[in-house]
Amino acid sequence: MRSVRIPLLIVVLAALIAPAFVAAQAYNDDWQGIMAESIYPWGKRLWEPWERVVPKKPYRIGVSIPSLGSPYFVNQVYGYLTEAQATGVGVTILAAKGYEDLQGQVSQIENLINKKVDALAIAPISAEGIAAIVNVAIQKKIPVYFLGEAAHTKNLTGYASENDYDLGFRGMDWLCRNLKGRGKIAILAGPAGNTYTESINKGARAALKNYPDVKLADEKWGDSEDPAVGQELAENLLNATPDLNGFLVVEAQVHGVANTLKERKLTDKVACVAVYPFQETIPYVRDGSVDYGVTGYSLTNARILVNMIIRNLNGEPEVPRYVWTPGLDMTRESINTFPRFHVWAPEGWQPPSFMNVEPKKK
Amino acid sequence: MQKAAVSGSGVFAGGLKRFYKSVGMLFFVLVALIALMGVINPQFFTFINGVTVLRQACFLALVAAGQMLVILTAGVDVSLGAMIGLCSVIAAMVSKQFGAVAGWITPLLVGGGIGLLNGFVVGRFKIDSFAVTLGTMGISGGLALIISKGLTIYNLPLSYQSLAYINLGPVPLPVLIAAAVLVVMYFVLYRLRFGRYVYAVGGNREALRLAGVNVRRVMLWAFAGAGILTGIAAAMLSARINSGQPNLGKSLMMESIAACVVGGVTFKGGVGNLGGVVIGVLFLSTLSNGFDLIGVSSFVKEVVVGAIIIVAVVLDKYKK
Repeated sequence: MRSVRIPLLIVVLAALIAPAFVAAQAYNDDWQGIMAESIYPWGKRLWEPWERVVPKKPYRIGVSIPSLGSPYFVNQVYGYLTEAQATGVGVTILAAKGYEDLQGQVSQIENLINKKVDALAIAPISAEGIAAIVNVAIQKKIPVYFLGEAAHTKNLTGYASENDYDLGFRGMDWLCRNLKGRGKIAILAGPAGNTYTESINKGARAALKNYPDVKLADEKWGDSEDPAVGQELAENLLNATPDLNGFLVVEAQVHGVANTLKERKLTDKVACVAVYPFQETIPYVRDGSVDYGVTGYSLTNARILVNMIIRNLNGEPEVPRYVWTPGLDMTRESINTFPRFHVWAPEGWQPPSFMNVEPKKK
Repeated sequence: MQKAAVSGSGVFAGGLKRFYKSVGMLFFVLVALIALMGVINPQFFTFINGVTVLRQACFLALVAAGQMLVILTAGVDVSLGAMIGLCSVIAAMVSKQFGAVAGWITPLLVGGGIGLLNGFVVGRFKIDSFAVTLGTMGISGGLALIISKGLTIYNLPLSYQSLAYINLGPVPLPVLIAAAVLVVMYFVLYRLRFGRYVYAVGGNREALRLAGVNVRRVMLWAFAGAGILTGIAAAMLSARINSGQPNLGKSLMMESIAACVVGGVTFKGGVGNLGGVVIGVLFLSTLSNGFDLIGVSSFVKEVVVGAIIIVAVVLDKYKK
């Protein structure tokens, strides 16, 4: 037994980390031509179409995302992998263990820097929290791009994003208009300490100020990915405030809220708005338990970012620094024409164990 | 000449045997892991990556050393992760008011205070440490969210982050701090009476009490030590992200237990050594770094780490 221990361990380790790559399915080229607001370094703002570009060298992009547990980031991963395959650049994607694993994301960015990638694309758990390690990357001449909010990091080469503040604003504005400017609402705000939820919250509260007769009965922060959490919170909030008129909910919690409303037969009396709904939210929109959803071009933003990075690495003189993609509305009436390929990966697609695409050699 | 050679090799073999008995299989598995990672991705073997692994390991090393103190007494502290978030938030607020140095010192006081509370309740009321620290985990996590209102506290003095980003020569300051703290802990555990008492509490608490030792005080200071060590880790982690985050460090609680278990510290108490814990920390950090360089999904990483914990514990039992 003694003589085989070490070799046995090595074999077990090797077997466990053996590649289990599942190729990304065929991508949808319909993303090209999307109109986005490009903001150039000298201040020019233009709505212009985005197209795929050809890299001059086999660049490698390092990507860091908070988690694979959220469909939002799974969609981004699909965007990165498929666009890398289409353009011929390489990409290595690392995912932290969730929105609470900020030190994990910092460590992963450190590891990508050591891998000497040509550029870093980051969806930050907290823009402030990773500012220091981002500056380390920039000092090592690795340009850094954000997908998502970048309020507190001034040295980025660029970022592409939906506007979380705008999504929160639109969601709350729709809710208040639906209530005809009068009533009580609750917000299920998502995980605390994260840049994107803070922005959504700021936007929602800004919209609320325009409706002085709509009162915020309660606001709860917590895990936004767990419908069970949303269900429990909705039950407790409705028990505490029986005359509640509406919910603004971030991400998958909305499924739990919708289930509660259906169970209590309140879908006609209590409005429910989802910010960042998922594919799983569609049945709830169809049956009316979720009245309105607003989301961004999660998937296409990743593709736009890949092309922004390639353009900069190619040395193009005029590349926008910021790209905002507009929000997308979802209602029962518009669900059949909702442009899913901009937001969601193909149904059933799952990220591979090795989220790696090798660059095509020139 | 031959006699001298034989006796020389005998001394070497004896030393190797003592080393193996002391740290177990894990050291050799760590060497094998490093070799494997380097073969798969040569960037693993660069000096800068080695420094990176040490930098990433030093926070876990401190929390794991603190956890070790508690596990040696046949307890466990599940509040260490939440403690980091609370320390981080309070440190951030203090640094904004009173400067970076005050911000660095505050987590030690907060962590030590929570540790003393844990130790007092466990020792005085003879309650299971898991239950008590589960309670303080909730209290710490909740307080962190209340104080910060669930938001990140940023705009800290720029000097605050220097604790995490200054290098002395090629070595990052956090690595040096962690190494110094571990040296002190080695001294406390193996050269002072308190260290012997910590082992003895886990080995046979009643016998120690009958021998006239104040067991409650030993428990109190074991938990306080865990809190202080976690406070140091919190100060450095907070500087690393230059902000106060209410959810910072939550995963470190489980990782600290994993490092102790992999390093040969048993939950029965009284068994385990600091060298094993350090190797356990290096093992986990090397694995994490190596997997990132290869590009392995974090889901796969979780499965592998869990499997390795089981394998390491089983093999260590065979060694005994």
